[in-house]
Amino acid sequence: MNPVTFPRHRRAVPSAAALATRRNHRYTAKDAWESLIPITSALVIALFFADGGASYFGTVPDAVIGIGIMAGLVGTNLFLIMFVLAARVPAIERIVGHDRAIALHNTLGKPTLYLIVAHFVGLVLGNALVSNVSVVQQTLDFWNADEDMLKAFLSFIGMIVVVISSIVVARKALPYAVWHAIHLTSYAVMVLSIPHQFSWSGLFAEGTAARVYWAALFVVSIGSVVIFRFGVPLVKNLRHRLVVQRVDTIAPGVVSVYLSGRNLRSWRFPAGSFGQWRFLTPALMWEAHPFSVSAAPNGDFIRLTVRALGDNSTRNQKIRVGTRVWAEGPYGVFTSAVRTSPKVVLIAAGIGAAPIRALLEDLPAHRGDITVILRASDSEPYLLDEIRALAKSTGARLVTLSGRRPNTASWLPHEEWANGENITHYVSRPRDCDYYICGPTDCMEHVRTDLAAHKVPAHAVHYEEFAW
Amino acid sequence: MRTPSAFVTGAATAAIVAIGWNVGQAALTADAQATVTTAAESTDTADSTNTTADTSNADVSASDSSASSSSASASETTTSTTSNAIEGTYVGDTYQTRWGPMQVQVVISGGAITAVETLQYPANDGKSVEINQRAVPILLAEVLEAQSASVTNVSRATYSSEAYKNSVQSALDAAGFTG
Repeated sequence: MNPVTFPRHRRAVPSAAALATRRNHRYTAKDAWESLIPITSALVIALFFADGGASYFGTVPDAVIGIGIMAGLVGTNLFLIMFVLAARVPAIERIVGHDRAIALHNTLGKPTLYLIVAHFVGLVLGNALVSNVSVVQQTLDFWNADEDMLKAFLSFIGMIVVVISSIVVARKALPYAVWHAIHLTSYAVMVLSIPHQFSWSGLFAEGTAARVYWAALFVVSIGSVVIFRFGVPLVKNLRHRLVVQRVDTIAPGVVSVYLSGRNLRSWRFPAGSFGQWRFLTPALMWEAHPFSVSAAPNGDFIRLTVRALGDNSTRNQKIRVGTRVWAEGPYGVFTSAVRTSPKVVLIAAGIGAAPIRALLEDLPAHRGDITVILRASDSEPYLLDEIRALAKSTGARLVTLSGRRPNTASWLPHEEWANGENITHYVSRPRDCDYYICGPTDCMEHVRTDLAAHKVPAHAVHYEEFAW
Repeated sequence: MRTPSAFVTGAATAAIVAIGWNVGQAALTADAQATVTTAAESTDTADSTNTTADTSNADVSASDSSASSSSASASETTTSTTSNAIEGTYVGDTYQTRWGPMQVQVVISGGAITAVETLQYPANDGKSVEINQRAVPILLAEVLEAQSASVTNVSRATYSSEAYKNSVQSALDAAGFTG
């Protein structure tokens, strides 16, 4: 098979000062994004008070209703923010990072449900007290009240199902496809909750500032989902039409897949980023897989390097040249964008070599400033030939560590661990370096522990946790 | 989030809630003052017009939301009756609900509440109009029956009921009507 040539696009090496400035800007932007959650929560409470909400706190039943309304407002606000976080908005993907945005989305799930439950309980209990009827009677009254309230009930039940299914799936009790189908009902949950917000709550009462805020939030959250979750991938795929151009088996069960397409210069997957890839064969088209690119963007092709993992990845080996591919991305901040130091250490274990190889190709650095550490259990590290050639041409140091890990907490092979080695044996002055680490989660945790033990600041350690 | 950012966020969060609270308090105070002014005006003009009780007796329509026609004209005649109440038409205070203001006027005649007219009711949106057009006639009937503002709330119109009863009570207070 004829070898592939990778076009080179070397960029200038950034100075330490420029990297430090960029890091500060990035952290400021990230903090600004994250502060939006408490600040908008405060804002909806403030709007409630500004609109005369304090008048609820005259009597106990009214106060119960007031608290229920506030819980509903904060809960709805968080619920809508969850949509924005999961919508793959480019600014959020770039600044907060895909994995942390999704992690934040996951964290908000339970609090949102609790707040909506509090909303339900507060309004039923409060109104039951005001009208002097039983809680059961009040619930039935709301249920039978009108169509809008019935939809709100259905929305409430839907939300419980969605959150419970996500908590269960965290314990791996549900297959991904089932969870995903259930999760899609979130859209129904949102839509069904809207009518009662118009007719029963004052969310959209005319002449209030709250109306402006809520209308804007609904537009932004629905808009970001429609545009970035559906619109952008549709346009990108119709425009670029990715096709499998070449498939190389590089090790037993490991393949490099080359995708060609129209005008790939305008659909760049930066080194270290990943996409969701859907191979359009009858068997595979229903599942999207998160794979990192294993080559820097070059305008000619996109390359993935994939190992057989589980039932679906096994079938990837049968991917034929000519298969059309539906892609979403690029996602993630495991890229040169988060670099904080001119000196870089790239650590890969197993198939983690794929993004590390792309980063080695992409990161501009002076000769000797990059160290690559490849971990493999009992075979040769994946992509070793390509990485060795790149290391030679860029002047990077290459360390390969083979052998199984000891059962105790270490990322090193048994022999090195037994010799009491750690990161300082491979990197001189580890505190001056940036680290990009990619591999199995537990192995990478041990790397992070090792780095932290040698006082490497957390902002210099980069890793991406695939999340769905 | 870095520590300085966390402090800024915390401070901003507290400030936003505080501003909202103050705006709300200012608005509620202004509402209260406006209500007092309205009440004062109606007393000032009390002797200039003389709306009699019987003319508005039959008018129980809930659709009269214009406060201008006879709202500012609470009339007093000095006839004493079995009750301490003074005969005439009394405009109740305006009570704000989240969906708009509620205000009634009460006609006292022969020592009894003979009519309650709704001057304005929450009508910020179609749903409120619908709810109040259903609730107001029920509340009216209840008040006339009970001869008091202490009546049962109409279900699914809790806020309207509370505001209606409060407005009726304020008119009865102005009249010195004790039942």
